[in-house]
Amino acid sequence: MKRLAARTAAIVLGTAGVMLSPRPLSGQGVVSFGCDLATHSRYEWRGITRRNAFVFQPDVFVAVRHPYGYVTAGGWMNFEFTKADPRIAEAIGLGSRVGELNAWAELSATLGTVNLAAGYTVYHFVDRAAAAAVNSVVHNTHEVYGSAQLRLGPLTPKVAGWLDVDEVKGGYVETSVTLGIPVLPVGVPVLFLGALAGFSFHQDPNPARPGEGYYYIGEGLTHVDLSLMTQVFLPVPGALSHLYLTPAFHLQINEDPTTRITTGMPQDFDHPIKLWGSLTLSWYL
Amino acid sequence: MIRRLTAGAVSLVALFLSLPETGDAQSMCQRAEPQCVDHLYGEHRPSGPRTPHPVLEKVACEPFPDIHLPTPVSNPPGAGDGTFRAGFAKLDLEVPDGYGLAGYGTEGRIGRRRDTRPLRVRALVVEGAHGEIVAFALADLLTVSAILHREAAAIVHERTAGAIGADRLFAAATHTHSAPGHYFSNWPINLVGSQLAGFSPELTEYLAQRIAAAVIDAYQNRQPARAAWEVARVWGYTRNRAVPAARLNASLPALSVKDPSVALDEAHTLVNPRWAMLRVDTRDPNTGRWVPAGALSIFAIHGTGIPSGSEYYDADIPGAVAERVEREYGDDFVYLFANGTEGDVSPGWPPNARCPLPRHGPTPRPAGPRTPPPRVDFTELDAAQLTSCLQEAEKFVYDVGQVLADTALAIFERLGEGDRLKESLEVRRAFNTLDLGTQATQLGLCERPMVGTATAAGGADGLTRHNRWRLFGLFSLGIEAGGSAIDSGNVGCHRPKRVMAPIFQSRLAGPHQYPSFVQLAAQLRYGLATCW
Repeated sequence: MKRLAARTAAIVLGTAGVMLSPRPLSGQGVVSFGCDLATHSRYEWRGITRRNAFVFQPDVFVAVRHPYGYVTAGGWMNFEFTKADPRIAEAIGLGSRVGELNAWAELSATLGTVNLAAGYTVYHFVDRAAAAAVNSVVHNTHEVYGSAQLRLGPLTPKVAGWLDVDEVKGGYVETSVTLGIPVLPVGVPVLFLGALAGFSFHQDPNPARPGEGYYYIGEGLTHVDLSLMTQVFLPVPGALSHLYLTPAFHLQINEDPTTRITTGMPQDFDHPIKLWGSLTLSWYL
Repeated sequence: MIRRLTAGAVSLVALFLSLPETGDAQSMCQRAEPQCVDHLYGEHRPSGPRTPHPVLEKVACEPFPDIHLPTPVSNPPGAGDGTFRAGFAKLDLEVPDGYGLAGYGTEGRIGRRRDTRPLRVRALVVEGAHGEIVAFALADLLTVSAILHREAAAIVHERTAGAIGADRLFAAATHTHSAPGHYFSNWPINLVGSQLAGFSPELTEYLAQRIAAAVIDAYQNRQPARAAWEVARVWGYTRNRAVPAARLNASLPALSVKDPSVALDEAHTLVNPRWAMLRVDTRDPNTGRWVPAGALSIFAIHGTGIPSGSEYYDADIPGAVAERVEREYGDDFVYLFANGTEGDVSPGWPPNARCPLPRHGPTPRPAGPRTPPPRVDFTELDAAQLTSCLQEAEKFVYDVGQVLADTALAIFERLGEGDRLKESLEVRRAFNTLDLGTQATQLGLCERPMVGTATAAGGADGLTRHNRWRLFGLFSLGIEAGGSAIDSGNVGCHRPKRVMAPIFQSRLAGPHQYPSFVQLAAQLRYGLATCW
């Protein structure tokens, strides 16, 4: 716990130092703030069901613009506000229903048609014992991550990778492509058709090191996620003008055994498909 | 059928979603609810990047005034004293900042004033030897609306003791695409004429007053005059921007290039090259000498030298020509450079004088790992791109203005040679208003006007960001020139045009929908005739 607190503090202080320095990266930094208030019909994390009922997942962040992008830091939480199967949950049994608290820092840059990002995430589960679900375990751990996204007109292929540097080790890679289609000639609304594939690299049980954490049972493809998303801009003037809703629907094709579990009941341990949706209210200033 | 219904539905929704700035509230209130913007926002209305400009805040929902046709009618002309008289006047149009620039549809930006090629209104009043009076008013605007003409005529009628009414006021516009809108008599044009939507009674009244003031000044400036006119042919500075469409005309104009030294391609020959000029000299009341007073000419050329990327009120090429000619003959000289049958006749702007359109894509924004995709919408050009194309356009307008002014000066000088200028001219005029609402079919037109889907794509001089839009990126619904904008299944009067949301448009019938009155006016003189 001390180690976690120390690392979190280092991230926060480092980011604050960058933001408060007289010449933050570009010398023309502009501080921005933002938040995303997301509600999910179920909590799917990299293909794994961590909560099979509605969850509320807000995040907040502060960003400093530099000539090529942003330096951003923020926090994220998972809040479980309905009763559900305690065998797939992060917070059941706790006075608080906060199951997960994460902090992250990221450096992003746009170079031509390529968006690059690299960052660091700290995962903290409020009650690890309660959060030990049937399909996997959760870990207070740390990851470094990076992503590259290409903009080819309406098509945005992306590859992103996370490397666990603490309890789980190994890596997780997502390749995805999103097609943004304006439904009307005026440019909005836009329908996003997305396809994503997740791959695990050494994030399965390690027989040589039984104490090491794991997320998946096997190596390679974990799941495929097909999504349909759109954006609804809210006609709010002034400071709230950058406000929009993002409804999304996902159809997940499960591959790894841990992704096939949908409830704590044995009969639900081998579902090939999951359906879920989310609604996110985003704002930034 | 499915395609037609889809196109109609999409067009309908797109039309309302494209209502910029003032939005749906305005489109509703223009038909029924006055002052609904005030009701929505009150005095302390919050503002943001997409909120209406304050200039239109209180005017967007004002109902249209009634248009009385064809009043006010002038008094019968006097008997005259055998003297031909003429007077000129010129006034600035000091339009406040903040009105949308009409001419490029929804690409038209919010305009502001500057000193380069300011907007003006110029007027010429001629009184024939037998007392007939005709007034010409030429404003640096996109068009003249029925409201503008009637309101100006009412003022002039009152101030000239009935000598000039609506039936003797020939109001025209240079057709610059960089002048304010919001004074049109038809709400669809006010709605999608620029990035701002709405009708402005204040602006309409101001423009009417200035047009009227110029005409009244010209009326009061009348002096014994002499005049001459000719029609020259000017090639090479205009081109047809829609050659494939021109080829589909039942009969191509029988034009020919007279100057064998000029080699022109098809686009540069499918134009109206006629440059008609009326030169007027007046007798100086102090010296008794004849002095060049001004001229009225007509030449077909679009006022699209300045592209849609500009945010300035600008008289464009007609303004550049008029200013240069007027400089040659002094401050009191007035040159009315009116537009002719400009149709698809464009100035020959170079490609780099057009600004790229806003691109559709994600808006850069700060985000976290769990943030949904960034907002995807049209994003503006960067400043360097905009500056570059606007500088090219400025240079082009200046250069063409100089060359065309040289042409005008040459014609003007020729008209002053020998005894071409005549002192005794008789003026006659005819005026009639056709109501297309009831007379369309008799005139060989379709019973109802219908806008085609290609209109949403814009013209070659100023394409819109919607050009070539496809449903789901795959299916063309006619928002382009040619191609899917041609509806081979359309057997109606508007064939082969693909009509935009036909059911919706047919519901729009009624006052102030599309222009439904045509004014025909003619000025005649001895032995020769011309129709202005």
